[in-house]
Amino acid sequence: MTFTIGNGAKGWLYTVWTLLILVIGSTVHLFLWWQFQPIWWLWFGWLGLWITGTLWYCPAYCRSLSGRIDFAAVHVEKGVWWHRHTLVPLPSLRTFEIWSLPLHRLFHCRTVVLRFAGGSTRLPLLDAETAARLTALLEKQGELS
Amino acid sequence: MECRPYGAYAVYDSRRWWLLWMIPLLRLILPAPYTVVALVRDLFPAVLLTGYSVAKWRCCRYRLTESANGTFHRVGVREGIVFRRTLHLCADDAASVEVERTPLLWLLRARRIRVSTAGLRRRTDAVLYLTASRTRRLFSLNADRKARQRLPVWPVAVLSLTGSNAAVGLLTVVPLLRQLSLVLGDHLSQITAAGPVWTGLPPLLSTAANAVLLGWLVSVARTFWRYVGFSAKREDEHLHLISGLFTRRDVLIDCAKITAVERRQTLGMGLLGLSGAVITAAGYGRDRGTRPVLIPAASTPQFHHTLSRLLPDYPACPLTIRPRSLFRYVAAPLLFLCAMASAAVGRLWPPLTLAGLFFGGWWLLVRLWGYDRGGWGITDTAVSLCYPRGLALYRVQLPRCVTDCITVTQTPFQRWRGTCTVQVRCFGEKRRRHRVWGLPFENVENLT
Repeated sequence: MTFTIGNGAKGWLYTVWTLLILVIGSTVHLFLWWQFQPIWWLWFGWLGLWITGTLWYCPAYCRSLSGRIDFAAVHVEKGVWWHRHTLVPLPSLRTFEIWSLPLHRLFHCRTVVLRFAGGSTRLPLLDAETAARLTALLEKQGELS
Repeated sequence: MECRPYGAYAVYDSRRWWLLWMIPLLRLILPAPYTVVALVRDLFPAVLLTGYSVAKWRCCRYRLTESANGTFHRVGVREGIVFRRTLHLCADDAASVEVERTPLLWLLRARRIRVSTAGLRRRTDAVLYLTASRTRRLFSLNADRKARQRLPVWPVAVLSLTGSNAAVGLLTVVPLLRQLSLVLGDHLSQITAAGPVWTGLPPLLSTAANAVLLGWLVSVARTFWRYVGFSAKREDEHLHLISGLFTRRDVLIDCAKITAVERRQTLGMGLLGLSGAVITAAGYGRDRGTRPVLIPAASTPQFHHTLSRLLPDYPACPLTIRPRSLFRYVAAPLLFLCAMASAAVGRLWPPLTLAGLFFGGWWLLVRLWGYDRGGWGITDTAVSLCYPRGLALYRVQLPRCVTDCITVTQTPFQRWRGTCTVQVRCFGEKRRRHRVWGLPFENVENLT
């Protein structure tokens, strides 16, 4: 079985990115306004940052996550700046979880967490059905082993 | 088959909001008039958050799968409202299962089960609330008392009185505080201009002394009722430990996950011929307050007999190399004693220097005892260390497979003397480093 980031992930990423820019930008401006004077041209910088993130980083992030599960291990590739290939042998898996916050549920996304003895790895922003199928498959593999 | 957790889930989840229910009581202390509107406003956060806990309980679901003989095989937990979490856990991956029965859970006929897997996580993996009967069936908590290793009461009483060095240390603070309150009281009574704050110090210090004494008594009582009636039994490949007087804990530990067995003796216990054993098991002992105790306190023959019954196949080896450098063991306590002695000669507050001399002397005795009994040994299957730490002596047995790294360190002085310090690092939930000082370097080099 192969899996990638879900279709709703883009909406989640754009929403979070926009909120992040708004919150950080407002905080910085309020601070500058309180201490010194408002620097309005900074907003152009924030706008540029938002456009770059929306047009480049968010789609790149969506393309970066991919993985597959076979009879031996879970293979996960993710990362935009630092590309990471994670291999988790199935016998090493101890527990697995599915997380979701309200924003995740709005965009039909789930985060799957695979826990093993040495730590854990996350598969973010999977589609809800994909996450359910993945965990069902892991459960079945656990039964067989 | 899906089921809802027992109602105790809501009770324990809402426990963190109980302080909010105290706000109306605090308001009674204030001189402002108390109206119904103020009462409603004060109670609103508590009611809202408790209602949230109840809603969480109603949304939570367990999917328990039983094996052919009716025992626990697999569990899926779905919980949370805002942050929803679904967890899957298999019995084969569980390193330890702890079944807890507090007085409240006993009244509600429920049990709290903590399941942990081996790993670096700092929390329990899953916490379940089930009925008592279902818990007994799922985890085979039978009432077979014959095969249990039970301990007499008097070693537990000695452990309670002397086992916690910090608690015993508190006792030395009590006379200091009382003396300080008397000295300040005499001094301030001669000063007519002393304000109300200063004149309140002597009774405050006396109160602090009483509080410290009460704290020590509470520590003794807590240790006693935690370990009285402690029993242990080997069930196939699991250890079943039962402890607690008011809050009963049944702990099932997979023997294959035990990474270290430590024998602990304080000086007081050593003088009375008592020892305690603590295990390090992957997945057990993470939460604050849990004590991975295998034997709380027992006389030496009973200690060895119990350990051989519970862990007959646990690898062990003798100590083959003994320490040679006494200086490393006694330097720190001697330095402390010299400082206290010079303070005594300089007539610096006699009660404090007397307490310091007593503590330094005790510390020196523990270090001398550690030098006499200390050592290190290694075979094909096991590693064994004995060393003093704090005010207790530890004898540690490790399977060789969990020993990750051995470090041999020599300072310039040790190089001149031909001695070294050996540090063993291993995998475990707590205390992953063990260190023995002052071993002969040549012997260590040959052995490693």
